[in-house]
Amino acid sequence: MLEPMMYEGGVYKHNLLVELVEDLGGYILQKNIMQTEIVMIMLVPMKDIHLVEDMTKKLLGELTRAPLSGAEIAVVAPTLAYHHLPHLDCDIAEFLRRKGAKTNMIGLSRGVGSRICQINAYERDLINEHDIAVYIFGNFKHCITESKPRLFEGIEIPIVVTGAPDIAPDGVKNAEVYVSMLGRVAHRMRKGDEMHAMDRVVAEVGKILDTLREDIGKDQQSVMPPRVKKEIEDQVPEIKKVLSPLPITLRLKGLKVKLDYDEFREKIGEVSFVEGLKLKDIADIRRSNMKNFILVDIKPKSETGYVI
Amino acid sequence: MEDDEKIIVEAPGEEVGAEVYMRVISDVLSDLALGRVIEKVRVYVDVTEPVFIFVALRHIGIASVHLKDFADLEIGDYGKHQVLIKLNKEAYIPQLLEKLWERYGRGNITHEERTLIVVETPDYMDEVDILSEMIIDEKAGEISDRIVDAMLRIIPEGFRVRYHQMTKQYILFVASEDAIKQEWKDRAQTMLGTLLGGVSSNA
Repeated sequence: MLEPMMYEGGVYKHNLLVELVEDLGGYILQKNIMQTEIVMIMLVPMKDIHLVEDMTKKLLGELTRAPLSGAEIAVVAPTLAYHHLPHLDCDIAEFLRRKGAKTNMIGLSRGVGSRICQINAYERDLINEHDIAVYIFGNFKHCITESKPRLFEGIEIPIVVTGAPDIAPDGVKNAEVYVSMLGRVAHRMRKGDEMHAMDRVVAEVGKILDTLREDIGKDQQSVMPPRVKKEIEDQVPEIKKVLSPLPITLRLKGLKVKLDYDEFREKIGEVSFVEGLKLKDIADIRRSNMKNFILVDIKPKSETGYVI
Repeated sequence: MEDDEKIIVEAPGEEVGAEVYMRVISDVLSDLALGRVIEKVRVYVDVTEPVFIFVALRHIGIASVHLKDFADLEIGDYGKHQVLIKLNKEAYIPQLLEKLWERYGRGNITHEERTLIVVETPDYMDEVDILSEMIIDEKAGEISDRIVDAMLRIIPEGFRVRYHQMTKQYILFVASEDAIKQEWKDRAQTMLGTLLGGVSSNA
């Protein structure tokens, strides 16, 4: 079992930690270097965490659990106008990122109003590519409980809703959970109660991810997504030229590879493993709605018959 | 006393929503530096209808800048049909030149020295007086633009059907997703009446 961890520290000698994690059979998911500081998100085998902790102490860094790592989360706003952005949505997205998640902000084209709001097929498919959707709504209870749930139509992934009024956590139809105290605001979230509310969002998202991971664990994936990521990095050199942040993004059920689908679909499918299998044997490779990227959905053991 | 509060938002059945909306309004007004321009704000929201009514009083008496405020005016030397504008402040030169060009034509304006503008005009005796009273920078106009901007930020985004009145004394906005009903307009007028009444009795 791999544990998602975040290391924050200096750049000096950080390679020792990278080597240690790789030797232990873990994976480095993300590495951000900011001048002399570094933030690394990694998966570490649970039984060896103490070794990583020792190394962290030696390097005078800080090691924390990053429960949202390896998940891609959609932060959905009714529109991208100044009524909904930037403050609240960006702050929530930032909070989720700090715990290791990869977030994409999605502004709907016609999500405004109580009677007139709607979602279109493209937006629906785009949101469904993520692991969880966090919908950020406004200040009025009637809107959140009666009108806005129309924006959940066709969404198959778990939904977390935020808004200002007090509603029971299960009070919004078709949403997994509702988090209060986060309505429409026109300032940065700085006050104590606002920060607590954002922590609650992170906690709720974490809980849902744990459940999803458990569900996946019941019928194990044929190969672990981080391993596929490493193999793609080794076998498809073009991925090194991709300038997008996180050229290969992990999702719970697979990965998103930020290369053109038409050009690289076959090459990704041909990625091979030492066990003699190719990626196309154990995964569905399909087109992403986001910029024609490639989505890899790893098949479960029940479908392929083996785990590598 | 409650009536003296600057911003009051009323939303039946939505106490939290009303409170948060009050903060939104105060944030927007301070972002656009309208805190001192808007005297009192009264808002009524009913999301079940849905309707959003916004009524606010403006502070009156924001002075416009006249030419005489920042320049001395003289007529030209004997025999010359000229008005001389000697500037004490350079800040308003672009607006001033625009106005002069519009009135006299570009060919009649000479601006060779930084603080001296010469206007060629046959009626120089009368024009000196007219020019000194000319409004160069209209603060009120600019503030009105900012108020409209603030309104568009405050009103819920989906409420695209709007009815408004804007005078030097007050602003009244009614917004909804549906056609504006007469009863909403009446309600807005009543709210405005109360607000105006309150101010005159205080005065």
